[in-house]
Amino acid sequence: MISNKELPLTLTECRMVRETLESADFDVVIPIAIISHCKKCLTCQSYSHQLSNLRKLLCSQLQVQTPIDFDIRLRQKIAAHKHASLNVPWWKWMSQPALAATATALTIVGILMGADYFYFMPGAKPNEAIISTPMAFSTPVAKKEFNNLANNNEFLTNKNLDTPKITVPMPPVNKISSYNTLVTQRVLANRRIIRSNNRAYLTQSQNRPEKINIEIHYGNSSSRTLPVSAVIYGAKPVVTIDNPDTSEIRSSGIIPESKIF
Amino acid sequence: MSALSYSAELDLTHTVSSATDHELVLAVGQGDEAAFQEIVQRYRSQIINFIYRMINDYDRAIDLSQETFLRIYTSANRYQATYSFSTYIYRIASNLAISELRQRKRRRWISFFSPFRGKDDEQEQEMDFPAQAPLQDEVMIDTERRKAVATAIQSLPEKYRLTLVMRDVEGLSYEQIVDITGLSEGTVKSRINRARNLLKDKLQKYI
Repeated sequence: MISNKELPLTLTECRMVRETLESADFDVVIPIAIISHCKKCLTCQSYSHQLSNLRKLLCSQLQVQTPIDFDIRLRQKIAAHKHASLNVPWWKWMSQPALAATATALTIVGILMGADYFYFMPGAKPNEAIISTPMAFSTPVAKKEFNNLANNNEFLTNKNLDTPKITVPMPPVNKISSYNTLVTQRVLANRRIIRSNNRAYLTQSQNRPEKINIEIHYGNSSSRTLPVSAVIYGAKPVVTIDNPDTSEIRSSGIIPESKIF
Repeated sequence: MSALSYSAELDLTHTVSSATDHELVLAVGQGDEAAFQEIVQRYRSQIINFIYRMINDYDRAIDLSQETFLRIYTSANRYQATYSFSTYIYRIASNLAISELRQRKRRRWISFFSPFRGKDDEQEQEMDFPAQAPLQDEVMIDTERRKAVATAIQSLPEKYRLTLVMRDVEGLSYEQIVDITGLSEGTVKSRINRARNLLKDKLQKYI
């Protein structure tokens, strides 16, 4: 490749002249040096002539006329735009960054709450918060299972409670004769009861007792509603039946006498 | 000087006709309809011509010009006086024109699969201006030459056409073209030069 220093002086000049001509504005006077070079150099003269003619040709294009109703139509478009911007469909709000961020945050919170909701489902983890029914305990098999679990449960050893309290570990009852044996009469706002097949699962996001009523059915005819406070302790869910009148529970035989404090 | 402090110094007693472009846009941002009207008066002819030279469709050029002014109106409160207003408005117009050309390319590709369309549907037709005077030879030659120039400009690739129209038809400076297109000065000069060389070949008999 030939460097600029090796080029003949005229070629370097020609390049400079052409660059000057190309970048010159219409109303700028061409320097005398350029004009004198073009007089001597036929190639640059021809180039200058062609360039000048081409630019004149392009400038000679007719100006497009503005339509008479341009302003009126523009006003109409602006009015239509204003009207449309007041009636934006809800899905187009997502184009607003702040709204999109809020919606995303709400979605994430919803997902987390959903995860918390399903965390306590027995299908996901064994021995979840299961409120079994007194009728289920009244069956010999359930009683035996309950006793085994109750003996191993650390909450049953807590004897320092001020009020008569029965702490009942909730075993994973596999069979319940009837769904209606447990009827939740009232569920607090932040509690949910999931009913699946013939089980009822209580979920709770906070480890503090809350009052619910359970209806205990005896056989097919009699029933009684008992207020209980249900507490779920993380992965070891128990239900604490906080009822001063424990005689009914005692007489029902669903909880061993030795386990009532 | 930031746009905010600039607007604080805006003298509202100025008449719109004597106000600068920056003052007008800031006034539009504050809801001044007269200022917007003044902006339209100042730039509508240039913008219509520029878009028309780019897309060669009169009706569409009018629509896109109005879209340009609509965008100016709706985004006036976000306007920042970093560049000159003419650069700002030309940038909007050039973006709209380029979008239109790209949409046409896509439509042309689709029309490849629909061969039964009539020629009347073709968008790219040279605009015929209504004759203002009795036809004469000179007028006919002039009209033919203009058509040839318009056709030659339309035949240029989009990137060359944009810079050439800005420079040689609209008479913008290199600095303005650099600001509008966001290209380097060297690239702009190179593209203009390339476009001129292409035009020279196509318009050899007129120059």
